[in-house]
Amino acid sequence: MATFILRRLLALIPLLFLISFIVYGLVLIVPGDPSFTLAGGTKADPATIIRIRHELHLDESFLSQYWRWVTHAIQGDLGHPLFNRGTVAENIWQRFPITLSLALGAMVVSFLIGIPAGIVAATRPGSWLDRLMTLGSSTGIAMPDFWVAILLISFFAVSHNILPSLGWVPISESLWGWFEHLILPCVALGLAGGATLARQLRGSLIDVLDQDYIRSARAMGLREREIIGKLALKNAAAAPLTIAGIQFAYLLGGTFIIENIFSMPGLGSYLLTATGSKDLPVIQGGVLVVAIIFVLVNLAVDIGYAYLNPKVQLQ
Amino acid sequence: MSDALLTVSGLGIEFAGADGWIQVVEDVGFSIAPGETLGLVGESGSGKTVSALAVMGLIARANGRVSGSIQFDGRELLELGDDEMRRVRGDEIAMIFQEPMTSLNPAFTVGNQIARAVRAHQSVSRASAKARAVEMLDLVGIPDAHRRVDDYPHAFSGGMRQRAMIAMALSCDPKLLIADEPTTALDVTVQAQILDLIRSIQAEFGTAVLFVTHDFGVVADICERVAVMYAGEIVEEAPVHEVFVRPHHPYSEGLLASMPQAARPGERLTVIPGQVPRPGSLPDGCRFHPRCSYAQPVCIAGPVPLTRRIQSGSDAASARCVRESELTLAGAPEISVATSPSAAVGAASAPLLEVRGLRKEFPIVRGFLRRVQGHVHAVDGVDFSIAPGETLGLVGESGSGKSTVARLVLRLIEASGGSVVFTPQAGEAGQDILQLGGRALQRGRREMQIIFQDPYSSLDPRATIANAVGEPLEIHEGLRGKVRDQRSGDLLELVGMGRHMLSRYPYEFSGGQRQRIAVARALALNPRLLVCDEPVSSLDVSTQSQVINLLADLQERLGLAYLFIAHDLSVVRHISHRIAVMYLGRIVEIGPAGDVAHSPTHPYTEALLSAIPVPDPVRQRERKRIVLEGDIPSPTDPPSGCRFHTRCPYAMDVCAVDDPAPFETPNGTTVWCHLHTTGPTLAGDTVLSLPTPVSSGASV
Repeated sequence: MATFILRRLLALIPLLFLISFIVYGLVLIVPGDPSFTLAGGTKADPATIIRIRHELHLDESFLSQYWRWVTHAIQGDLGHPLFNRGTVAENIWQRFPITLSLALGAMVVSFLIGIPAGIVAATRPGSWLDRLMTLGSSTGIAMPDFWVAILLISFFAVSHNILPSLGWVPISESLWGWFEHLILPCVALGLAGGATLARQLRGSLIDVLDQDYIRSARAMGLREREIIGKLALKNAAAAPLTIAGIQFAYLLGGTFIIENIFSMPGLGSYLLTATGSKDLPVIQGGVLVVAIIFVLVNLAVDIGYAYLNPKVQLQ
Repeated sequence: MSDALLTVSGLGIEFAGADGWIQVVEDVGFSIAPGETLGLVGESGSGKTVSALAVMGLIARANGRVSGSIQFDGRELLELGDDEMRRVRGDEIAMIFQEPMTSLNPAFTVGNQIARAVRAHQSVSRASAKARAVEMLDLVGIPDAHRRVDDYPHAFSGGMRQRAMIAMALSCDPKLLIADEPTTALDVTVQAQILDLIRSIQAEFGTAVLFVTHDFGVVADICERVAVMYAGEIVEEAPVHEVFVRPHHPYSEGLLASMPQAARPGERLTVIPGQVPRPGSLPDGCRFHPRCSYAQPVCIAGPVPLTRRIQSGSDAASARCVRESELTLAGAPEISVATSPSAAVGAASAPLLEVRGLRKEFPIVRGFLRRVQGHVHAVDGVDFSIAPGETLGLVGESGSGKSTVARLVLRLIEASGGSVVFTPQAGEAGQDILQLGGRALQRGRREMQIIFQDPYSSLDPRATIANAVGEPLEIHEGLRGKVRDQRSGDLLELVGMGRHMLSRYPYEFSGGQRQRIAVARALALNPRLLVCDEPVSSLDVSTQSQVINLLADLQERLGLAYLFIAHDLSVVRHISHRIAVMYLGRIVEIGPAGDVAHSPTHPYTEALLSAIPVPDPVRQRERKRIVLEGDIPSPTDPPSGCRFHTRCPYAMDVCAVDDPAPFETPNGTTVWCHLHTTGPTLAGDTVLSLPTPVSSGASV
């Protein structure tokens, strides 16, 4: 298992280089020149523009720009924002916990909804509970997260005033405050994932419960709770786990919108602002961080997959 | 029998179907005394497995109804609640299944699964449950049990998995073991090991066994009493000797006669015509009458009761046949020892297929840097030829490389070396299939076709029979529409089916019918050579005989040549002109079928033959058998010298060092074995045949 993880980690190095190259390149081919904006827009005089371009190294070749950026990035230096103070790395680091709490919280909500619903439906296929789950999950998948967010806000915050609808409290300040502010955004973001997970789990669990080894377990007189909760679930978890990895990318995208709706000062709103003003170092740094998170999550999925299916480690 | 451990009576089982409940088992009764072995025999669809599952309480209430009575050790199992029944399962009655490859959970270690079973019935610590797992694995003969207990099932071979299943089943000392076709998916050599294991466990612990099987050879080997099932009923029950010597039901007689061991070479195999009726569409009167050669109007008059000849004790016998008293039925036929008469087919003409030095290595990538760490030598220098119209049988255990040879010959996978020269038209120059490319290869392939083992997965479930059979005609001859269907219909009739079946889908057919369809498809392009990769292994005995007879007829009519691959020597012996025996990627013996099958010259052939149970309870139990130890070694690192020396009962020092040279016997058999060349004096100067030929246990 240790060799397996180490090998997968090493395989990430060329992948991360490729990602950084694409991230850096994509932003540069977007039309428009930030030095033009910085120099004062339409009123800018050409000499200032040239000076700023030189300061930002925009007059160098693409490869040397990229090399400068990537060698700094490896050392944790993502440069300075064009329109803000501080460094890009600092700014990201401040906002990162918010986005991470939101994404992980949404994952937890997905699991809390998807796993029990999937098990209940799979163990009673065709029953009214199963049909209710299928109907519920179709609805859950069909509803866009921003719309769910608005519904939740209007019910829990506006009409009944049970939960706060806006803002963010750091965990260091108040644990309850942090938790309370996360509930609505996490539910809004995690609902669709939970519905997808429930369907996936139902399908694969029904297949697994039909396998010979489940019959063997029953023939040995094992309790149904142990058969479903341990023996079957470990086999059935592989497919939903793969889906969960892909879902996480969707979740990260979703945080951008949800952060805006709930006025949370996270990575998403920061990047959104930077995109509007063409703040290249922020966009490049932010996208790189998001891409790395995504790659790491999928590594975790692969490792989980190897745990669930011991044959994978051999290959 | 008040002292019986298990008494089943009036057992009825119904399943929910689209139009209400369908009765699949009716009025089934049998009993087993402590320590006794009862064989429950019948073809698939007879209801034997379902009856066993009912005893286990494993028929789901949601779609199954069980009625009647199942008395076990003083209790009525059908009256027990779910949790009470769960406590009986595994603890007092345990069960092992047909498919060892899928019966263990792939995500948990073998030891974990056994320990869970122990902890489900006994309140012991995890550590002592695991200790029990090691003890049980050791008992069933898993070498190095304390280490293997932490392995996952995929690290176990099929035979070892079945041993592990037995270890799990016995972990709580059950009084009754239900074995549902436990050896059907295994090689004969491994089957012999598993049967010995079950016997020794019975002797040691006094466990009673309900042995569900379709194989009368296995019955002869292990059972004391036999209950024969047909279409959901018991048609005959009697002590094993009686069934074999004088069966009292025509179905028992038919099953005994259709065993391939019973056939004389060159003759057609005896078959029971037709197939087991499906539940819900049973014939009136005696359920067997449409297939029975003794049927008369009286058989259709009404349901036939089970009549007892002898009332009680271990001699109790009964049969369900109205004409029982008038008929004198034949028992198991004598095993034919005659040599094959047709050994010389096409020997004079140029070979149709000439295989020389065929090799296939699969690289193994391992470790941190994923470098090639070695090779699996799946096929390692194989030579043989097939004449036009000839059948070459290729036998060996799983892992011997025989299916790889089939795929290499058709170039479904690329060879690592050697040549496969194919000469479809006598007199023309042959072509090396391995060197052809593009269109030339496509043309070459028209003349050589393949049929596979599993007729359930080799036909596209969403294509009609017309499409399945007509596809090669479309691809190679551009036929479409009516012309194509006309030809497809002709092909179906050629294999004994009707052209009205063209518009149907595969699921509407039984296994034997599907295999006929696969044969029709293979014949669409008039091939010269048909590669048959275990074509009857997954079929019932009587269906198996039907397909083999069909293949023999087609050979006669069309002059086809067959490369016939099977692990079952008794089937191969019947259909082949010559037989090649493979072990670990090499041919160890090749020669005329009769000689190889009746006077083997290689110790491996001898062991394979010895492992086939003889369908005669007396001889099977008396004869001295060679049971090979362990499994076939890994082809990654094959043994030095003669590859068989690690399991060979005759192994000498030289065998571990030198590769044996080929030796030709006067009969025309070529054998690779030191006994014949450098060997000392086993039977004179050279050894012409080994002491234990197939069925002549009495002569040893």
